[in-house]
Amino acid sequence: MLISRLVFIASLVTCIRSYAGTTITGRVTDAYGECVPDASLYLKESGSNFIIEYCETDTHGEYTLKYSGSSDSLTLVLSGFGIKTQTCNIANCSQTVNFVTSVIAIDIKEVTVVADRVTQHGDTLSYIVEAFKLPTDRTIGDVIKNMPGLQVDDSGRISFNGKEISNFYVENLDLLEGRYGIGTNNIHASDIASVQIYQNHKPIKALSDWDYDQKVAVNLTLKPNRRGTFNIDGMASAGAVPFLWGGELTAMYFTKLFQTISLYKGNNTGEDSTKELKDYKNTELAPLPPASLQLVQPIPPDIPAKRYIQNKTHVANTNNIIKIDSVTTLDVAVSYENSIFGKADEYIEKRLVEGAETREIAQNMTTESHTDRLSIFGTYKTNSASLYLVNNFSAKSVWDRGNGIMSFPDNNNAQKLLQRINDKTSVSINDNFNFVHSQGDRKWEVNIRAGYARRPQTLSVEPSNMLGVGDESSNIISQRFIREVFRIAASSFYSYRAGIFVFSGSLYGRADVESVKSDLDGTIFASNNAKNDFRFNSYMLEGQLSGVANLSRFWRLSLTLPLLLEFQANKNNIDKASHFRTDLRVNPLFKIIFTPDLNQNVSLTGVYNSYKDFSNFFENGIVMHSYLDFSSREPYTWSGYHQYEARTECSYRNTMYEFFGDTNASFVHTKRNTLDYITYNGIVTETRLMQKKQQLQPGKYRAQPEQRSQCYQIGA
Amino acid sequence: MKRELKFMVLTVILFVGIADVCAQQKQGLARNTWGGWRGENTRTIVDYAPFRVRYALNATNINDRNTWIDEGQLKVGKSGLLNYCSLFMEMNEDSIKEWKRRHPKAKTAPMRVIEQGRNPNRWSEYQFSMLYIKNGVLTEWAAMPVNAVDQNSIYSEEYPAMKWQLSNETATVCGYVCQKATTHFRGRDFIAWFTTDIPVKGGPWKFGGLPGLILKVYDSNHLYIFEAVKIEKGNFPIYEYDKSLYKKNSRKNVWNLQRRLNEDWHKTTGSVTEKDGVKTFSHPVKYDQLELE
Repeated sequence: MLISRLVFIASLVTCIRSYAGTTITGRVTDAYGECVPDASLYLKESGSNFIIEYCETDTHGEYTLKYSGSSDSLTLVLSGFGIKTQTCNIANCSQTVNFVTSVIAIDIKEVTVVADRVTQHGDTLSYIVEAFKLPTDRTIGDVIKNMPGLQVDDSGRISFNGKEISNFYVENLDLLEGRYGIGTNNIHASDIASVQIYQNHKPIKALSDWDYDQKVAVNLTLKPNRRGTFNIDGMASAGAVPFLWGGELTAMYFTKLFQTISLYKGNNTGEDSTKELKDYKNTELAPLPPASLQLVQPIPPDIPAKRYIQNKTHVANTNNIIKIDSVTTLDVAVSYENSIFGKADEYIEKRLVEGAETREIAQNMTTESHTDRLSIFGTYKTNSASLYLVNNFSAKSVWDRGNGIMSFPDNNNAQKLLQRINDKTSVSINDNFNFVHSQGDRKWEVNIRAGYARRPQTLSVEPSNMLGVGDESSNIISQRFIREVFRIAASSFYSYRAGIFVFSGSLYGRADVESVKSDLDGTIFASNNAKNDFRFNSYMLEGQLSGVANLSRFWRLSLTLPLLLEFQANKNNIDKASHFRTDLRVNPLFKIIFTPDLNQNVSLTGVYNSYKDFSNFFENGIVMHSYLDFSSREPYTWSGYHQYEARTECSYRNTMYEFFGDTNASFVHTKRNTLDYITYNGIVTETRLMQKKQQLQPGKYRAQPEQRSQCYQIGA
Repeated sequence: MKRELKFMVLTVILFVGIADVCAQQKQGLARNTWGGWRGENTRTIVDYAPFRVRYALNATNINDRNTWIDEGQLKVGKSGLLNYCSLFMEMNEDSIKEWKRRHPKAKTAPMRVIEQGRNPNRWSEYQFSMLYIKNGVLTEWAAMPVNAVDQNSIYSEEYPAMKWQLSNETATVCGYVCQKATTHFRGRDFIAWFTTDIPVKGGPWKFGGLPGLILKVYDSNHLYIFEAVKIEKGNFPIYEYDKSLYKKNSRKNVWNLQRRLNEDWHKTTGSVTEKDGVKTFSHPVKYDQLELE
């Protein structure tokens, strides 16, 4: 009886039922008997997966868990980082449970929710094409549009984070140079494995250790089964009423040593296939001069061009690159385009006439323009760690012609005006040679560019009496305009690093020979006033020395001294007048920066600039740029400016106490000589360019001590 | 019909407005710092982690990193040290280091070479602070934004105890079955999902103390959402940054400064913007800090 009572009391002591709350205590030690702190212990009711109580061991390895539920049995679990998880089933009664842990290796299940569609290695980002390709995407440009951070416009131009790319490679070969729109709009997405973005790209390997330049390049890596495979792809489409057609044929072959893309595109659906031929890296010194005479055409409405343009376009293009050795490539491209664009519209043109009045001219017009363009490009390039040598050659020939028929509702459309424009063979031939050599702390760059361009144009309008300026003896007003340009420029740049100093010197020479001939017939203007025949020659020599001294982490000095000698000769072949001018200019820049610490900065800067442009000194005769726009220029005018400026700035700040002080003082003196225009009325708007009086802006002293919004201005 | 249309338009405007306000509430206008001000150029390795967990912060699309404010990482060191810091920042710093190794003579280096989430130019204390938890002590290395890097601070405090209420709800997060737990921490109610399959008492930011790893945690207003997106094994170094760039400070000072920098970075740092000749010294935005006290 006594024994049974003692057993009962003992059971009460060791196992108090949950009605009063169950307390489980214990100690966790390792195999050597040392206590294990921070281990987790938790309780589950038997048959349940939910944790109902948990705790952790203290610094002595001891723990206490309390349970107030009614489950008959419980599961006690010990777990922790690097220790083996132990489970024991216990009765729902207060008790002591001790554990001896054992060490285990970490074994967890690796999981990825977000697949690495984009991977990063160094400064190269790789986008997996398949991860971004949608079922409707056909070309690589379509897929690049889906890639975060990349943008592609309609012509195929690519930007990364808003910055236009500098190079477009296929398997690290620059097949398309600046005309990479052909690649984005024609290379099949299914051929490409990944699109790599070279951030901070250095296209010139010899300069990779010199100045940092944040350029971005794209490289397409091919799928292994697409390398060395010749691929021809064709597409044709047709529609009815009116008959619409379109066709494409592309041929591609890519290896690491030779690559080619050849294509034909044609359509009459309003699609502009020529836009992808644009060269985004145009370095021509003498590009085709801008058109001086123009056909008046309807203003494009705010709808896609393909909805209002009637066209017939044919484009043929071939691009080929061969890798001669590990660092040398030869690239040849030829393209030909033939296009006809027709437009028709009715609109009212508002033109500003003398004073503040405007004149409205209602017009119905139909125009048609034809263009034939042949372009040839060739590039030879050596790009090694110490030498960069490249020669770009381009030759372009353009034949433009067009006509337009206008009628005027204000005149009951009774009379029609015919305008015709003809660009006889316009040509531009350019060559660009670039040489860079670097060795250790020295680098030397040479650049020679030469170019010739000629653009002869004629514009005729009939009947002349509709314009109010026509000569009674002639029914046609005709304008002839020829601009011819020859330019050559050479520069040499040398830099040397010596300890805290970087010295640079450069020499730049340039010769421009330009002639303009124009003749306006069939007007009431005197023949002398309707002609231009002048030549403008300019020879420039510029030398520049610059030095930067990083004296200490506090002081930095820099001085740039550009010395420029310019000789300009203008000759007017009509009145045999001549004008010569020699100009010696120095535009120095000096800067001292003192930065004692992050919160203080003092700088002193001095700069002088000047510029004069005499290129149109003898362009005095009237020119009919279009049937609505006749213009002449005030004789002997030029534009330019001089400016010198000195400034000093210093700042101090303390963020914790929100104290901020900035002061700056500057002296600016500007002398400016600009051109303006006046207008005359009539159906013809006649514009005369004239020279403004010289404006002398007095020197201005400005001092701005700032502490938050306080601001003072001194002097004038 | 017109009424319904009006209601729909108003609803859309309201939601757009709310979304815009929410976007402002979680991040101010402070600008990122680059170029060594965090002390990354002279960082040292203090431990190695055999595995790490990556968390997306405030993802609008969990599958697109560009919609996250940050990708954080929890590294569990072999010595038991827990380290929570930004993976975006660390990957960028590693990439810049690699770039410098490849261009040894370059005088300058790029500022950013990888994507940095939704607001790559904006500073967030949840991206620029490094947390270290060991032996019940939490240490925060708080790197500040542009124009406030002289206030980079370091402080230690006792690891804040979080009293979690366990719930009988489960969900699968990042491939693991998780149990729900709730707590009130520094002025906000938080919901966490943890798994005992990974016996680590940590989680993103300062969250932890449960008998398993927290894979997802968010406040009751869904202003701040940390969600695990990757669990990976390896040998990941845990870095300690250049101490000379961090001054000793108190949690209260750091918390106050971080709040002020988010609420009005221009005013707090004396930064000035100028448009059309008009200078502005203050751009206040409404901001809700994660920790309210």
